[in-house]
Amino acid sequence: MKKIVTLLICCLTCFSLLLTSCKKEKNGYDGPVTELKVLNFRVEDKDFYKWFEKEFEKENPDIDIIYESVDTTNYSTLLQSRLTAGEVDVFGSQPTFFTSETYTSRMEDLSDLDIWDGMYDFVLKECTSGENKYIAPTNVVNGVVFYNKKLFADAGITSLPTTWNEFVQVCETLKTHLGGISADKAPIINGLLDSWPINILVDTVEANIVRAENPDWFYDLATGETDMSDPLVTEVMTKVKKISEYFETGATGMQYSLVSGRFATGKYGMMIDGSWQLSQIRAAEPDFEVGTFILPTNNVAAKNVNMCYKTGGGFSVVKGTGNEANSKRFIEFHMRDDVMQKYSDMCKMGPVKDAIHSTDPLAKEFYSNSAYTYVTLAENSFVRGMPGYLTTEVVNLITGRTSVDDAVSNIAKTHNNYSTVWAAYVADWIRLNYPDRV
Amino acid sequence: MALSGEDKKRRKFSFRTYPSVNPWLAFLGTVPVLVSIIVFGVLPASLTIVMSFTDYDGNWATADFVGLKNYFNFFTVLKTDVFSYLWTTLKYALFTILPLQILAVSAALLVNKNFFGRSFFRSLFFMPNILGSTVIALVWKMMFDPISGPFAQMLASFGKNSAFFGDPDISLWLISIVTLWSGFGFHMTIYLAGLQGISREYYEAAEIDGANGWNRFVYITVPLLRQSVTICLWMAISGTLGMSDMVLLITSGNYNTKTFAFFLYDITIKGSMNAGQIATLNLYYFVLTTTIMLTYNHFFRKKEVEL
Repeated sequence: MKKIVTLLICCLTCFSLLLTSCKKEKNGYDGPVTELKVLNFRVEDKDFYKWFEKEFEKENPDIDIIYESVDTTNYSTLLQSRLTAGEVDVFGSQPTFFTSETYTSRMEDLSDLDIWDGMYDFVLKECTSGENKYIAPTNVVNGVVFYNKKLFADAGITSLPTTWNEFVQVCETLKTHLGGISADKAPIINGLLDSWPINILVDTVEANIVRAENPDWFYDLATGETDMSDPLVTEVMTKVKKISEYFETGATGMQYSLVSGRFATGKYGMMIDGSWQLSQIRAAEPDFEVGTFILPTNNVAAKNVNMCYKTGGGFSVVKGTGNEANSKRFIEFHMRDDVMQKYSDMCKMGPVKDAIHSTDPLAKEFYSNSAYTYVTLAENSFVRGMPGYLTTEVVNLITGRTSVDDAVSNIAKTHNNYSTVWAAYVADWIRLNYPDRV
Repeated sequence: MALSGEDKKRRKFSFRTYPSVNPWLAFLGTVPVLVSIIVFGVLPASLTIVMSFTDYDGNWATADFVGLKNYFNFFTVLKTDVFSYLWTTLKYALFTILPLQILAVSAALLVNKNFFGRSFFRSLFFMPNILGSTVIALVWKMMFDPISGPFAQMLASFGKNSAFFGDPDISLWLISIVTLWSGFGFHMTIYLAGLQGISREYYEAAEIDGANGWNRFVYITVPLLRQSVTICLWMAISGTLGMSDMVLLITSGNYNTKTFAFFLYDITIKGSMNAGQIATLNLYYFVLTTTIMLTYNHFFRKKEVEL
C-alpha cells in the first residue's frame, strides 16, 4: 500500500511539474510575456472583460492580462493594499477619486494618449485634475426611475407622472393595488444596507429641484453665496423622506446586490437607481417588462427635464510601476470605438462620445433623449467628496432618527466644518467648470 | 506571593550559570526578532508620532510642520463625531465582552463533561473560528435578510418585521451577536484548558463536605479559572476596542455601528483627512486603549497575586 501511495505522489508531482513547464504560446508568439494586473469595481462587466482579454491578447501577445474585479464596497480597501504592495498596473477609477491624495498621487497622466477626440466635454472635465487627464472614461451613468410596466397597467396607471403630486399619487395607487407595503411588495424597492445607494436617490431628487431653480447652485455653494441650509436643500430632504415612505419594509436592511433581481420578480412598482442596473435587470429576468421615466420632483411639469448623469467609471494607470507603457496600450485598446461599442452593447452603459450608440431601446431613452437636459450629478461636484456626511444624515432621516430640519442643519454644519479641508479640490472644480469666472 | 531570597537567586539568569552558552551567540539569536520589532513596531510608531506634527499626505517633500494644530483639531472640528464613535465602541464592548465570557464558560463546562458526542460539540463550537470574516459576514447578512432570511420568516409568522442590520436601534446588537457566535469557541478552548487543569480532588472533597453543584462552581471552578478569565478578558477587551472588520463587512459603519476603530479605517481609506490628522487621532486612541488595558492589567494581576 505504502509503495502505491508513494508511486502515486511521485506521478502527481511529475505531472504537475510537466504542466507548469508548459509555456503559454499565443498566436505563434513565443517571446517574453509581461503580466498586466488590472483591478476594477465593475463586477457586472465580467463577460465583457473575458471577451476583451481574449481580443487584447490576440493583438498584443506580449502582454498577459490578469483581470480582477471586486464589488464597490470592498474596492477601496483592496485597491489601497494593491497600490501599496505595487500589485496593480491599471485600476478602475471615478472622478470622485480626485478628492483623495492617496489616488491622485499614484495616477499617471494620460493626456498624451490619442483617445480624447470626440469625447463629451463634461466627460473630459470630469477626468481632468489640475492640467492633466488621469482617467480614461469608459461609461456614463444616469439616475433614473425604472418602472414595472405590468404592475402599472394592472393598477390602472395609464400615464406616467409628470409632476411631484402625480408621482405621489402613482405611489398611493400602487400601494392600494398591492394591498399595502411589506418586505416583498411595495411601490418602490431599494436596498440600503450598503447605504451609498441612497446618494443616487438624493441626486435624482435634487436635479429637478435645486438645479431646476438655479443651474449654478453648486457654483454659488462653492463661492459661499449660498450654503447647505438653503430652503432648496430642505425641499430635497423633505421629498427624499416622502419617497422613502414607499420603500419596501426593511429596505435599509436589504443588500444592494439583490435589488435588481428582486425588482425583476414583478412585485415592486419602481426602482429609483443608477442606469447601470439595466444590465442586471435584463440578466435576472429577460422577459420582465421594464420602462423608464424621469423622476418628477418639481410641481411644474416643464421643470422636470433635468436628467442627472456622471462619468460612471474608467481606468487609470499606476505611476512608477515600470509597466506604464503596457498599461497605456491597454487603455488605447479599450478606448477604440469598436471596443467601446462592444462595451456599450454588452454592459448597457452610457457612451462617452457621439461615435458610440446605445443599442438597447431602454438605454437609448435615458442616455440620449432630446427631451432631457443633462446635468452633472451632484456626486461629482465637491459636495460628495466630503466624508460621507450627506449619506449618514439621509440614512438617519429615512430611518426616523432625525427630522428634516435637523438633517439639513447637520449637513450644513458639517459641510462648513470640512470646507477648509477641501478648499483645493473646490478651487480646481471651479477652475474647470467655470473658467470664465476664475 | 512573594519570592524568598533563595528563590530569586535561583531564578535569576546568568551566563555564568550556563558557561556553555556564548553570550554573543545568544544575542545574535535575538537579532531577527529585534530587527522585526524595530522595523515593524518601533519605526512605524515613531513615524506616526512625527506625522502627527505635520500635514503629511503621501509626499514628505511637500509636508509642512504644523505644530500642535492636529492635536487641537480634535477638540474643535471633530469632537462631536469622535465622541459618538467612542460611545458606540463602548456600547459594543459592553454588549460583547461579558456575554462572550458567559457563553464561553458555559460551553467549556458543557464539553468538559463526559458524554457521547463531546468531540463533535467541541469541533462545532470552535468551527466559526476557522471561517474568515468575509464568510461570516456573508452568512449572517443572509440570515438577517429582511425578505428571505430565516429570522425574517420567523418574525413574519408573528406578523412582525425588521430591517435587522438596517435598523439603527438593533444593528449594533446584531453585530455583537455575530461576534459572539464567531468568537466564543476560541475563548471556550482557553476555559476548557483551565477547567482540565483543576484537580478532581477539590470537587470530591467539596462533595464529601456536602457542597452542591452551584457551590462547587462558585467556590472552586470560578476562583481556579481566574487565570483563564484574565487572558480571555484581556483578549476580549483589546479585540472589541479594535473591532472594525465586521462593521465594514456588514453595515459599512451605517445604522449607528461606526466604532472608533472603523472610523480610523474609514478616514484612512477615503482619504478625507491628511495622514497627519489621522496619525493624531490614532495616537489619541492609542493613549485611551493603553490606559484601559494598563488599568485592567493592574487590577487583575493584583487579584491573581492575592489568589
